[in-house]
Amino acid sequence: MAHRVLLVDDASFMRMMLKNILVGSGYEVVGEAENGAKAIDQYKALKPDLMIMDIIMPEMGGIDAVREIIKVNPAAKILMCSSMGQQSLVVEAIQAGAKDFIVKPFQPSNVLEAVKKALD
Amino acid sequence: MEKKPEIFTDFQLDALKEIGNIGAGNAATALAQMVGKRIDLSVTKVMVLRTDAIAAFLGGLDQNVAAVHMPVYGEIGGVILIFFPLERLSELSGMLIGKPDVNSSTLSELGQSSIKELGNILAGAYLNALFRLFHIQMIHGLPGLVLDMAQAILDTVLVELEQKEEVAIVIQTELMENEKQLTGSFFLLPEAGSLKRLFSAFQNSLGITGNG
Repeated sequence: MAHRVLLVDDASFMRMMLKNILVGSGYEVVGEAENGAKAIDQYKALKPDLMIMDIIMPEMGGIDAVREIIKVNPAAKILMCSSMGQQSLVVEAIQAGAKDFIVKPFQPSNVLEAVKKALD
Repeated sequence: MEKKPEIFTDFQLDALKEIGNIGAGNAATALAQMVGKRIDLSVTKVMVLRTDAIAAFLGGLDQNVAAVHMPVYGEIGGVILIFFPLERLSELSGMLIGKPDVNSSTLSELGQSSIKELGNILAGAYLNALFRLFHIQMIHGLPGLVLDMAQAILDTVLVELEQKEEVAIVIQTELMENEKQLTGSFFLLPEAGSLKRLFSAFQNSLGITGNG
């Protein structure tokens, strides 16, 4: 059975890119959200195997959303994906509960490798 | 007293040029990865420009341009503006999406999203260069896309920046894709007091103390 993934990014273009990469490799994209607040609602409703989450988003950013989702399920698997790759942000995301961090722009192989590693 | 670009020392201008070179290199790499094509850098110019000269620099006060804008926060605050030639926007969006946009004049929602995300990633490339070189921590906020006359865009952006420096840092990069030239202009409009902090950070990173 295909692993179920929820995509969170305020840019529809980025969600499209990620969806193409994931679906092309046999993953199922079960939902999309455009901000952290909707991501939390979608997580509770869909219970995906994995989330890929942007950081800078309106209403609620990705790192805050990670903290809230980890409260709901400490075993939640979340990959951060951002153009900001500075060490302090990566550390903050991991400390919030994210499993890994992908810097944009990314090669499809980097995304797939990070997804596989997070799901193993 | 008016602040003029001439008062920047050679050391400070060299530091800005280094940010420009590395940032432009990162930006070209980022763009190449996004469009899946080879992108070559031909020229990178770094300038300090008075904010009231920006519109003229872009081709005139009434020149229609496309701009991605976003606030920046952290050790240096202000606004980033990335200008793309309006006549190339549809082509650029097509390269990112992988097919021509359904609306070539004003771009579809997906087309606009692709340009905003491009601006998002290019801004990240320059800010990451600033951090790697000089350990200046800055993050940027949500990108917006505006298609309008240069002066109108500047007026809107400068209103949001309540107190600003009188100069902007400009990194103009010429990129080549398959012999087609694309000139992108990156502007950092710092908030008041930021330039002093920026140049202190340059000096601190090199272990230089005292007045530079």
